[in-house]
Amino acid sequence: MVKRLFVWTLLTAVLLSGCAGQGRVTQDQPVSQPEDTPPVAAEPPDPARRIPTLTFLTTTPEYDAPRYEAALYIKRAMAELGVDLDVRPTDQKVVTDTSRTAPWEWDIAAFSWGNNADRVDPGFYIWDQFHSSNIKDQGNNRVGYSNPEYDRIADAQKRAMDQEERRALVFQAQESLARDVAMFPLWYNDLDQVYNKKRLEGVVSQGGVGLFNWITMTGVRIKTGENILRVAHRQDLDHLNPLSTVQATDRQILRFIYDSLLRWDENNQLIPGAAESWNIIDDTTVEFRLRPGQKFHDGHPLTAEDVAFTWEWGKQVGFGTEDPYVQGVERVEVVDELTLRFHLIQPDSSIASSGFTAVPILPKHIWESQEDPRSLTNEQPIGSGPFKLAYWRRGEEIRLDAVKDHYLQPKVDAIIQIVYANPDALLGAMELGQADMINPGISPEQKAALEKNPDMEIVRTVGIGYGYVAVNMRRQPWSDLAFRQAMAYAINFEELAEVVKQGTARAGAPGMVISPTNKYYYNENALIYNYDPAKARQILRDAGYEWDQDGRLYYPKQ
Amino acid sequence: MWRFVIRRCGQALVTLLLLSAIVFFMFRLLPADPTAAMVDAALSPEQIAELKAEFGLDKPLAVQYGLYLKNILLKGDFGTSFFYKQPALKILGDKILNTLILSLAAILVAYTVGSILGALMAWYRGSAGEVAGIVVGLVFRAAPEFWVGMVFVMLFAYGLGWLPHSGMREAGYVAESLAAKYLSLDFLRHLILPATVAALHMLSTPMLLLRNAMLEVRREEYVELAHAKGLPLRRIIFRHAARNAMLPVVTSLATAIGRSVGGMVLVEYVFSWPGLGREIVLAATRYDFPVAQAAFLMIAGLIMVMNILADLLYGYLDPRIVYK
Amino acid sequence: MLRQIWQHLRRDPLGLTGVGLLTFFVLVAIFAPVIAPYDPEAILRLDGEIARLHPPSREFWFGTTNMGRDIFSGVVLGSRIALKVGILAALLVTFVGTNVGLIAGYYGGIVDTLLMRLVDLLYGIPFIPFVIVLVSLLKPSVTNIILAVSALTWRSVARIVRSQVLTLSQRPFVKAARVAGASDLRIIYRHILPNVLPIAMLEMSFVVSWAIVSEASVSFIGFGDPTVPSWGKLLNGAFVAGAVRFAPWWVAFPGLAIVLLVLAVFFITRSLETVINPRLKGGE
Repeated sequence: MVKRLFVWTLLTAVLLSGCAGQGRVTQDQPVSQPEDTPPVAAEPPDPARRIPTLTFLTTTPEYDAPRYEAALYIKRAMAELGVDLDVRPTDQKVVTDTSRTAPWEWDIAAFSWGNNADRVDPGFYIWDQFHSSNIKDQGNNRVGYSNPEYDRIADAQKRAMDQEERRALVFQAQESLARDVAMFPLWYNDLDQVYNKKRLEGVVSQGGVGLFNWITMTGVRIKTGENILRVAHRQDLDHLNPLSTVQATDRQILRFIYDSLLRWDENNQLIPGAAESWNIIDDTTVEFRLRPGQKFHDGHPLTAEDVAFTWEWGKQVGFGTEDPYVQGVERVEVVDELTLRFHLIQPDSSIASSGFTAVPILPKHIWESQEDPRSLTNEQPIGSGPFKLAYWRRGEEIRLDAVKDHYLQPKVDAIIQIVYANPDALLGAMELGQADMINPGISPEQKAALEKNPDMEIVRTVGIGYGYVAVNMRRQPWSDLAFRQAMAYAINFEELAEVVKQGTARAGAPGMVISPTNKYYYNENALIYNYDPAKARQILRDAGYEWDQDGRLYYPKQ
Repeated sequence: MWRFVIRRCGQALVTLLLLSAIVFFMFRLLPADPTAAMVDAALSPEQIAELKAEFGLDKPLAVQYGLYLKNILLKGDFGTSFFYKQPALKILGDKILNTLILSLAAILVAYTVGSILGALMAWYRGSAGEVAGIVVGLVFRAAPEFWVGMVFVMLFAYGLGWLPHSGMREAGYVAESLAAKYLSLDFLRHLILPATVAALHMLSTPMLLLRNAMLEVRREEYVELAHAKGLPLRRIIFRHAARNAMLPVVTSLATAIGRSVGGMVLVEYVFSWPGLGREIVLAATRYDFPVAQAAFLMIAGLIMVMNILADLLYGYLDPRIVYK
Repeated sequence: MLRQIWQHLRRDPLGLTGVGLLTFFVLVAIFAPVIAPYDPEAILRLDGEIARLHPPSREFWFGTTNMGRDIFSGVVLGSRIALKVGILAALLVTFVGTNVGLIAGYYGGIVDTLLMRLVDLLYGIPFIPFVIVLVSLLKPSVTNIILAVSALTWRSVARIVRSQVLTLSQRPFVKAARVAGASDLRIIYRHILPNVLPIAMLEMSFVVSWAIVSEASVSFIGFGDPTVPSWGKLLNGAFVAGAVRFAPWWVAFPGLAIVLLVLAVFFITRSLETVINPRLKGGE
């Protein structure tokens, strides 16, 4: 039959041509070499010792494709080692919540530190993330890393007021974290961002942070059209409660609604915020003088009482990411209506850059009567920042109206941040002029498309944040140092970063929790791992791990 | 007639009740932690205790189900969203209307355009247009809705720039009343693509059904008789025959509604249309069980309401039906 | 009867096209590992550089994705998943649905009422939301998707088989068998089933296309198995990467594969319908 002949010819043609044209194309995933195959145990290991399938939480591909792809990449690498990981993409907020909240029901997950000015100071990474005192419900030490020797070093660097001394200690801390494989940074975020230069002027990039900073938001001017800045974002806010802020999206908006004592300029230098001047009296005492005439959005005047209240009451109630700083304050002394003194428990090298700039000033008259302040969604936030909330249409958009008599004098009338569900829509919004900027950044595909558009200005900022994978050290097998070390050797981090970030980011390495952008504090001597799967297996073998004939990994005999 | 309506509503309620039981037990028996369905582990111990009391999470499952139902029927409390930390009903409330409008628009377009095309195809029997119509109809039925959606967005939104690519309205809209929100040109422009994509998928069913029915009708005796009496053929067919030919079309409406609203998930997802379908996808992604449960029940409820309306329509067209 | 079907299909151009297309896909699926030039998950480099978003070319017939994966290999291997889901789901559904329909139609009475109420209930369950919820509660795997799709789809087979059984139960040959002392089971499975099979088979071919599209849909939304190459997953990749505008080949080819396979099944089904439902013959 004609039909049959046709099918066979087609088939043969396809078969033949399937073999051709492959010379120039090479495949990335290396095939295991014979000498690399895991050794099979003499007799089949006890099935009870088999390492079960572990859950890998990551974001959905439409939210952050690199984190999703990285999870798949690591899954494949670990499969070579004999460990099965079940990749579960979910909302990024779920990943964050699950990992920070007792009873810490997670194995391994992918996260990302956004580019935030309070992270320029290494204390955020060295002390906040890994000191054992931060292992608590909603604590920053989500991996459960507890090492008394490390605590000592971390405390010392926090107290060290001499920069050289502090640097040496921070170097030591990095080496310790690398030896213990406390975390797996994957890539350091260089940020590509875009704005519509036909509409905007006065857009400033802050080192390590990017375009979304105070200077831009208050200084930007709209050249044509409505005097409203429109920002496109991939995700909506979670809540507006400054006490329990964890998501970068929330924190950004809250920084415009609430004010803090100090601020940054675009070169990451500390400048006056709500405080017009400060005076360092001694190692543990700082005096601030507030600007006169500040008001909250409901008209109440802002006084030193509000600042003192925020820090002392906040210490009892507990803050989110800023908690370590309020905990470090012994008391706040109100000298007069505009003057106050902080008395710290110990000298703290990072409190200026990560505490006084980050902790918002809460209106005492509103918060003092709240019964369960940390669980409020706070949908009518009253702050003293340069913008106040106009409305928040959940899942759609949020609008902030400018407070024209604020000392920062915002030039725009309002900011509207709009949620777009997928990258296509984000791009479309820019091209159609529905949005003036994309928050936080753009993908390589979007960049390629926008580069051709003469109205668009693309800015690249070297970021201070990074994407990373962390493991829950409270659980097996992550609690075993040998296992973590094996993992460090088993994954090709260079290739991962190249493949997943498409050449837009530098590769991370196990334990390297300070970004190389931070040239002063980055310790390259802590780079002790390289891609060596044979070594990974050797480490496991030496620790007593075994494989069965399917290549699955088993725990050592107890 | 009213007895029929009441009876149908009663049936629907019973079905919904049974569905709620299925969903309830599904959410509790499948995950590792049965309380995970209602209690977010991230809450404070006091809040968890409160929720446990409210939903009786320490009691046997049957009792829990009873409490769950009671909360829904008496208080409209579907539980609190883990993700939004707000009542599930509040999150989903306006989404119901959005899905309803999209579904109705799609069904309306599919059935009116489909019927007209079907009649035309029966009329112009054997022409190239008829064959083309069949093929096109089948192609759109074979093509997955989400794919057609993507292709249409590619062509009409990005390529030609005629229509918006996603969403329900432009950002920053100011709308005072419900009417202003939904009767604006902006809304209608956003409605066109998703409704068309969904309609195209359903089109072939009424089209082919009507065509077949009309062809059969042509052969009926009373048509021949009327024609012999001198009445123009066209008038006979469209006045007398079409009405009867519509019956199988309307019957198919019931299944179509079910598939349309259920399948609307895909169209809503591609177009970021803020409806129940998209919300259930988001809730499932986030393991936000209370919202997923609630959205599921609402979708089922919506289908049932529309089915009852379709039944009424059927009854109107064919008064021979005896409403028992 | 099979001979009759084949004779009919041969003469119907649409049916023949359907058979041809289906055979083509089946052959592709069988020989997939040989036909596919690359591993669909592998990240490929052309002259050293990762081959991102290449349009169709000599090296990459259907082009590449933003991660440098070959789409042609993905489509070829995806045919395996599509056919696997389609056939397995259809078999499962037909098995369950036919049995339920037989039992309900034959025994009648309370058994029938209960079973049909169950079917009614299942009709009230919205399909895609159910599959999504079920897959999110369990692990996303091909098996779970097949189960989730089958769990609801048998409802239509049951109904159709049941109404056929009702008609057949009144026929003389059934009454004769009963008089001759044959057991119920014997009557059901030896006498009634063969007469019900054609219509069950017809419904089964509807189910095949329904299952294929359902799996693609669920994978598209992101609830598919991330480790297997399916057409839905390919399209999901295109959508979330925002590639709809830059890489039409990424959207076109997997989608066309779905359309062609489902059309093939549709054509065959329509052809079969005219054999199995002779009444429709008059309408052609």
